[in-house]
Amino acid sequence: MKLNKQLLFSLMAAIAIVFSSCKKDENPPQNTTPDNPLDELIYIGETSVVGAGTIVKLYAQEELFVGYNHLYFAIYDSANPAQQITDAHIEITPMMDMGMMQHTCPVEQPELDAITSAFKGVSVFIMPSTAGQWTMNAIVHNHANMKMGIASLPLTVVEKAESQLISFVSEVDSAKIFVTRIEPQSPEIGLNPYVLGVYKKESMMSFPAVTDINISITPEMPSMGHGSPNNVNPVHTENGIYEGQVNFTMTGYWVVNMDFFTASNDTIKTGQQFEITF
Amino acid sequence: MKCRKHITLLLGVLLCSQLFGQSSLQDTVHLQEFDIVHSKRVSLNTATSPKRIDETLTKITGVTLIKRGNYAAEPVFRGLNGGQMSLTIDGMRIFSACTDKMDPVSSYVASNNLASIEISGNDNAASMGSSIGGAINFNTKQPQVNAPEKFSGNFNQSYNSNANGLNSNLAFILSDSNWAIGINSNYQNFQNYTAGGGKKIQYTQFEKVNIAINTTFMLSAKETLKAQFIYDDAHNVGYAALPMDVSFAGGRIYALSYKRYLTNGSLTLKAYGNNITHIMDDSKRPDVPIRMDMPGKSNTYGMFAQMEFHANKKHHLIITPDYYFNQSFADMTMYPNSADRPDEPTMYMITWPDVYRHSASVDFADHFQINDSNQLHINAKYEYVTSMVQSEFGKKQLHSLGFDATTPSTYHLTTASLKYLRTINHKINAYGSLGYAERQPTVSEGFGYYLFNSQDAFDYIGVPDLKKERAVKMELGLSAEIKSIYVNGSVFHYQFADYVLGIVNSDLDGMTIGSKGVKVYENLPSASISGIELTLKTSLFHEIELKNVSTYTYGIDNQGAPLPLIPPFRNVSQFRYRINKFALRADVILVASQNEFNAYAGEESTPSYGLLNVGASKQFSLLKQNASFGLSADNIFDSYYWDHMDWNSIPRPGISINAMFMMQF
Repeated sequence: MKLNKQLLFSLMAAIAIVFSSCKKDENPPQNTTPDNPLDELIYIGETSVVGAGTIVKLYAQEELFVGYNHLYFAIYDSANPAQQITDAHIEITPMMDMGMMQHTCPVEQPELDAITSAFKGVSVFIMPSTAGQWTMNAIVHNHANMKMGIASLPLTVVEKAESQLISFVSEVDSAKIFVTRIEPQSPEIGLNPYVLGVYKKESMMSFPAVTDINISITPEMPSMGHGSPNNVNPVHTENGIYEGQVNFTMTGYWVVNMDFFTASNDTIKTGQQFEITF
Repeated sequence: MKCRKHITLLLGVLLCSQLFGQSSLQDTVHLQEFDIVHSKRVSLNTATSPKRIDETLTKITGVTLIKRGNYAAEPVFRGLNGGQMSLTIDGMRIFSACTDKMDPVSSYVASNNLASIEISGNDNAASMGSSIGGAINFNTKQPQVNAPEKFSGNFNQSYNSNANGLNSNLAFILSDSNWAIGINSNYQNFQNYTAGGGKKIQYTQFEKVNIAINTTFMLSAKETLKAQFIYDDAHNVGYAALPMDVSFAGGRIYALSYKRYLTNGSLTLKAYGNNITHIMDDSKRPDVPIRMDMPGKSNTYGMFAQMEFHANKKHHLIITPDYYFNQSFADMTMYPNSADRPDEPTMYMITWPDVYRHSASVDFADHFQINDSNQLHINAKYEYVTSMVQSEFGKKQLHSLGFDATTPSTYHLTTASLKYLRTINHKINAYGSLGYAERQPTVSEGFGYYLFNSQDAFDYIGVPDLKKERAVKMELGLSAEIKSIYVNGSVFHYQFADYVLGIVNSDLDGMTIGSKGVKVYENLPSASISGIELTLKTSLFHEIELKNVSTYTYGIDNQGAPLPLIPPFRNVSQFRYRINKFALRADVILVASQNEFNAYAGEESTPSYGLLNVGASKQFSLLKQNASFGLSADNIFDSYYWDHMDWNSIPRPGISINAMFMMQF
């Protein structure tokens, strides 16, 4: 096999050389302009931040959904919209207006991302836009001109077919807990990272990360009645993010059952689950 | 899988019609055993009663069958099975395409297309591709060039009352001065059979077509070129012992070979290929928890050269370099049926992860005639086998169980044997042999992924870095003719190391619904199989022949527990009476109970049973051609029985009346 492959490769290489030498003159000049990494993302919207003299464009990896969203805030100079500003600071507060009340949701504050030159953060939307109006509020400090302003951008958040977020009330302290599935987003056969974000509602305006609980997971294929071996329970890393591993031994519809315990193993909640189909 | 029943031996006749005249009607399968030579060649004289391949195989001493339905029984030789035996057709390596062992290689031939079956036990002699337990090679019939009759053929039709089974054969040979072509066709169609006592056994039906074309060209006085093609299709095959059936099993086997006769020997070059497709599904089963499709395919391409020299009068050397490539792929799609989730997608996994296996070997054999009464057979073989998973999906599956399939699994296999034969006087011969053999794990043992075995109800997982299985094999034999009684006996002992067996892994849960858990293949430190075979034969008044064959096998693992798939004591008596053109036969088969069973492998103790089969046939002339008619009754007492190795104790057929008509032209 190896030999075959080598033969094949040498053959292909030989062919490639012959062809390339024949076509040398026809080769178009190589495109040397690098693609804008932001073009790989989904454009959500933009707004000008008058106070800071900037325009903020919001990108995401996909349409905004209930769950753990990576957000990219690209800041441009209002006077020179082609100029991306990296010497800046941004602080976000997503807000949900439900009429009777307003609340925010868990976030990870944006930091400069070397690849996109945008400010990359996270917003864990805890309900879809059908429940009210989501607005992304962001305080922008433009260090270049030492000015500050507030960006405000209406958002549309959808619920995915398979829920990315669950919530329950802690049996220990009656706090409302939100758990979002961060990985896997593109599940595949075999071992997958299983990453959760866990947050707690302290008030309408405060959803801090929960960093000290124990989580146990048990995947299950309901139609076949079997689970899978070699799963790894998620453990806390930072910012309320718990990393483990889930094993999908075949494709299809899986349920990952989850139980949550305090550090001293008091039950916070059992019998929770995410559905994962691939 | 396929070929089980009644393969008619029609085409056998292909060879030459002369044989016909000589072969008597009475004996359906004439066993010529060169037992003393340890490797046996069973010649299948074209005979009158059409037999299916399974029935043919059971005529061979030491062979028993694992049945899962009424088709494609798996031959077991002295308690060795599966990857321990190498099964070939005309020296061609063929690998089953079914992950559940439902299509042994014997299922892709028809016994009417076979000239002989060669079995080599522990001396590894004679056959291509020997494995740890030896080899079974099916030799197909070759048309004779320049035969006395330019055109010949035969037709054979039989009917089985129990399963409403038809077995039809039609064969032609066209022979010219420098070429010949033989076409052999077989069609079998059997319904569900009825077990002893009258119980209809569902899912034992099958239908099969086998067409084999063999051509020979004389390129010169010393050179022949042969081309062969076997087309084999089985449809609607029931597997009563399994939760699934086979809607289609197909084999396409083709080869080209060149032979040159030299002054002191010959040179044969052969290139071949075969494509096996096996479609397992449960669409005929009314109640299944979940519907599944389990197709598999196995493609093999190979070539070998065989050089024979008579170095001098004392040495007969055979050197055989051999190469083959096999690709095995099987997957499984499951169709969920939950009312709560009508949109749930199908579930999918790969059970044989597209394994590419390359094998290169060279085999050396010397038959050394020391003097008139002493012979030495020396055999040595080295084989290099490497297997690589091609499917990324499959690699991830195995990785998720903790196995690394990203690098090839490679084995260096050495096989050697020495056999000493002594002619004590012209009536007494003796031999002793000592052999050492190794084998690589099968695709299932190395890479299988949750393969359900319905015998023990465990899912099996292969291990890519399993060690090779090894064995030391010893055998002693004696044959003697005392007055008119011919006695032939042998004792053998196989001592295994790193014996491959599935061991329960309680950390893993079964995947299949109804599965009891998971077994992972492991190497047992040791195991052994011993046995004894005894044949007695005598003739009375030239018209009566009596033969009695007893076999007993005993197998234990490293802890002294019985090995699975060990047949119990068996005694077969044959009575043959022949006068003029009339023949009578009666067979009594007595099989002891088996209480040395392996519960771990899902076995239970099996009660003893006895069978009586009788038959009669008459030869006559029809339209100036040889013809014959036969009637027989199998299991005449309608016993309800099953054999120890049959899966899930599925009973075998009760009484059946068979009628057969054969004509040659």
